[in-house]
Amino acid sequence: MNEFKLIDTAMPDAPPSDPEQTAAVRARVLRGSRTRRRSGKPAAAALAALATVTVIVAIVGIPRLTGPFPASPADRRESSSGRYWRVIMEENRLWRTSGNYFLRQRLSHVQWRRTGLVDETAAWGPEANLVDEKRFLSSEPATAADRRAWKRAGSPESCEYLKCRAADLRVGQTKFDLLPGSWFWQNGFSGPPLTNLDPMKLPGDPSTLRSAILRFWPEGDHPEKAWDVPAKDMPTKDDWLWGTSTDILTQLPISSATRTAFYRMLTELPGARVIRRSGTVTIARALQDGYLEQHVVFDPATGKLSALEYVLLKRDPARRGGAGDFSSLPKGTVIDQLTFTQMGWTDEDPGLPQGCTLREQQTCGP
Amino acid sequence: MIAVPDAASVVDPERFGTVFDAHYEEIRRYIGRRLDLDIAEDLAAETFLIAFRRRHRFDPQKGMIRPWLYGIATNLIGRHRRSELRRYRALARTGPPTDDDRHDQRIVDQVSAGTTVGRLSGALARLSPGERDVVLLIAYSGLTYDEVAAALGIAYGTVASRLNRARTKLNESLRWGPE
Repeated sequence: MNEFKLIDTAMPDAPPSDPEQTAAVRARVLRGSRTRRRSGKPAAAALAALATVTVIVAIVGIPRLTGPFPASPADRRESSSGRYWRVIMEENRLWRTSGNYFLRQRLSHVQWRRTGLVDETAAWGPEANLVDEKRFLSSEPATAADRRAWKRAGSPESCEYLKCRAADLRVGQTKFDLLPGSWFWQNGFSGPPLTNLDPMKLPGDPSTLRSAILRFWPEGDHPEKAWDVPAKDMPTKDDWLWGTSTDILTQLPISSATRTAFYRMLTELPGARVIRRSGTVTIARALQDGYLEQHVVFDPATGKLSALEYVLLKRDPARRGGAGDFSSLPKGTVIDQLTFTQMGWTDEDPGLPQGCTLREQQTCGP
Repeated sequence: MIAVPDAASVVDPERFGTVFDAHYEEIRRYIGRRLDLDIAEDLAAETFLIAFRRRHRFDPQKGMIRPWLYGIATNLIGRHRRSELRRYRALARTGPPTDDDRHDQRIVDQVSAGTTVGRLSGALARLSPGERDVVLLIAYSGLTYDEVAAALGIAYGTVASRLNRARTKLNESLRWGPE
């Protein structure tokens, strides 16, 4: 008996379906309506149950944002639909090179995300659902001392990554990464299964939103079984909530009400602090290992997300790699900053170079 | 008698019911062998709902209806990878659930079957997701290598190489038992 036959014969089989249930599914499919939630509860009832869970943790001494967040008149003027959710941002980052000097690099990103398509048909719908147009704007030694070190090293060309390989982006070049729609930058360790989550339908109330996001907390009360990391590196539920929330805030289509609910929810997390500056509000919280602090910066007048920053919080010269690479820099240095210039729906197509087709897992140019 | 749907049945909403009638049960069974039944019921329905919504994207040049549906189902299963692994780990520990219809089966057969299921489950849990998809599509659906390649949107050679690796791992597990 070969392995496949053995598997087919030995492994438990599924019981036959219930004809009545099958008929109901058939009717639902042919109507094209959504299937029920996995819990088997109607969505509204499940949502109501979630809303009753009190999860907000109030920490005395943490500055709170007071008063209602203003509605977003700018958002109301924006288109509420389109073929793409487009995020235009600029990244300004510090890189430590193998020669121990720092480069300040600027890259622009324009991401077109087609939310109407999800990756469950990827095998048969090979079109990319996400186009990330990345342009390498500049790369310069960060300080005069860094410039001297760079010259001593022979003024090497800098690329998108530390080692310049043939396909890596050079200054002035643009490339298009074509990716599945479920792809996104995951700072929140393991984010929710986004193809299951319609971000536009996330609630606009902070406590309900928190409950809705926590439904995706891996493994419920036993997260240790879901993480492939040593126990000491496992995020707390609050760390995970912060990371996942910032991932969604910065990349996915959400309403202005949900965005405001995210800000409120983040300010309530233990360890969060609020910094008010002229024209901006920053919600800051240390990342898991305490070396970096992440800043969510928004415009209180419009509710729009302005920036996401990583700021050096703690120095440890003995530590190698990661945040330890920046131990020679002063505390408070912004290591990486994403500045958002536009976020919204558009019908404008990405301007792909000639010969570049929307096929997933491809890169076009330079 | 269930009519065998043709490619036109996929595209035509009026005729999509024949696609459902011909394939729902096997798709549900395939998912139900990989995931717990409550999830499987939902994903089976979701598979056909997605197929219905995306029916205009079905390309008969790339293959037939069955691989298309199995491909969608497999992608949906991929979202529940942790649940699938939990299931295999549980089976590896405890063997298959007791079946009341087999009360007269000799206890030694039950123990033997349980050992096989345990070892197979442990081996399946140790395969990579891509290897597991290929193995279980062939084992449970009877798709050919070409059809598996079409279902998963991967090259024929990739199917073959995943199978080679998977068979080696499976044989080692069955010969030596779980680590």
